[in-house]
Amino acid sequence: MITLHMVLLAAIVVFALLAVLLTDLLRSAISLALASVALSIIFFQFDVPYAGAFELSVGAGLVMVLLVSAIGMTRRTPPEQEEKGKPLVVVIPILALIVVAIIDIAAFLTLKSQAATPTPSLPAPATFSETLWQVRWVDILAQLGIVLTGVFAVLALFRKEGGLIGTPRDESTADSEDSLGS
Amino acid sequence: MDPSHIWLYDLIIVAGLFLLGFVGLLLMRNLVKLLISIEVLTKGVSLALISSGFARQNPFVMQSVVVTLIVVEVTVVAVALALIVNLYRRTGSLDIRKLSDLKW
Repeated sequence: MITLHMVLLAAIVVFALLAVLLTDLLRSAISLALASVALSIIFFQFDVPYAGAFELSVGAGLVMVLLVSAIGMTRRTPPEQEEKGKPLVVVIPILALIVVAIIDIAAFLTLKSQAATPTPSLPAPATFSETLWQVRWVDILAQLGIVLTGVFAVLALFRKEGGLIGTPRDESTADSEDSLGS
Repeated sequence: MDPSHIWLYDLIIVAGLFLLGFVGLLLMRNLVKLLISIEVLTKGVSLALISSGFARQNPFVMQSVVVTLIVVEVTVVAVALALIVNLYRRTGSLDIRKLSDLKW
C-alpha cells in the first residue's frame, strides 16, 4: 500500500516537472493531465472518492480539453532570445527552495504541536453528503456564483460585434482602430 | 498506512510541487505555461488538504473543500484561457513581454 503511494507521489512530481519544463505546450498539457490522474488515484487511496472523481473528470479531463482547445487556437511561436536575467535561472530556484523549506518546516512544527495538544472539536458528520449539505453549504452557493461568473466572463470575452445589444461596425474602420489601439 | 508518516511524505511532495509551480511562474514567459504552473500549485494544495484530512482522521470536510477548489480551479482555467486566446488574437504572441501596453 505504501509502495503504491510512493510510486504515485513520484509520478505526480515527475509529470508536474515535465508539465512545467517541456517546451511543447501540448505535451506539457498531457503531462499535467497525467499528474492529475496520479493525484486522483491517491484520492481514491485515501478513501475520498468524490474528490477523486472530481479530480479525474474535471482536473484531468476538462482542464486538459480546455488547454488543448486553447493551444489549438494559437500557433507555435519561436522562443526569443533572453537578453538579461540569465543568472536568475539559477538564483530563483534556490531562493524558492529556501522559502518553501522554511514554510514547510514551520507548518510541520505548528501542526505537530497542535497534534500533541488535542483541541475539543465539534462532532464530526458521519458522511460526505452531510458534511457538504449541512456544514459546508455556503461553499455550494459560492461555487454557483463562481461558475456563473466564469460563464459570463467567457461569454463576454468571446462576444461578437453586432450581437443583440451592439451594432455591427465597419470592418475598414475597425481595422484602423485596432492598429491605432495596438 | 500510518497517517502521520504518509502526511509527512505528502508534505514533502507538496513542497516540491510548490517549488515547481513558483519556479514556473517566475521563469516562464509563455502565458499557457504560466497557467500550467498555477495548475501545478493547485495540485499541491489539493494534495495538502486531503492528506491533512486523512492525518486528522476527518476527511469529509477536506473532501468538500477540495471539491470546491476543483470547481474554482476549472473556472479560473476557463477564464484565463479565454483571456489568453483574446490576447493572442490581439498581439499574435503568447509571450508576456509583449503585453506591455498598460505601461507608460
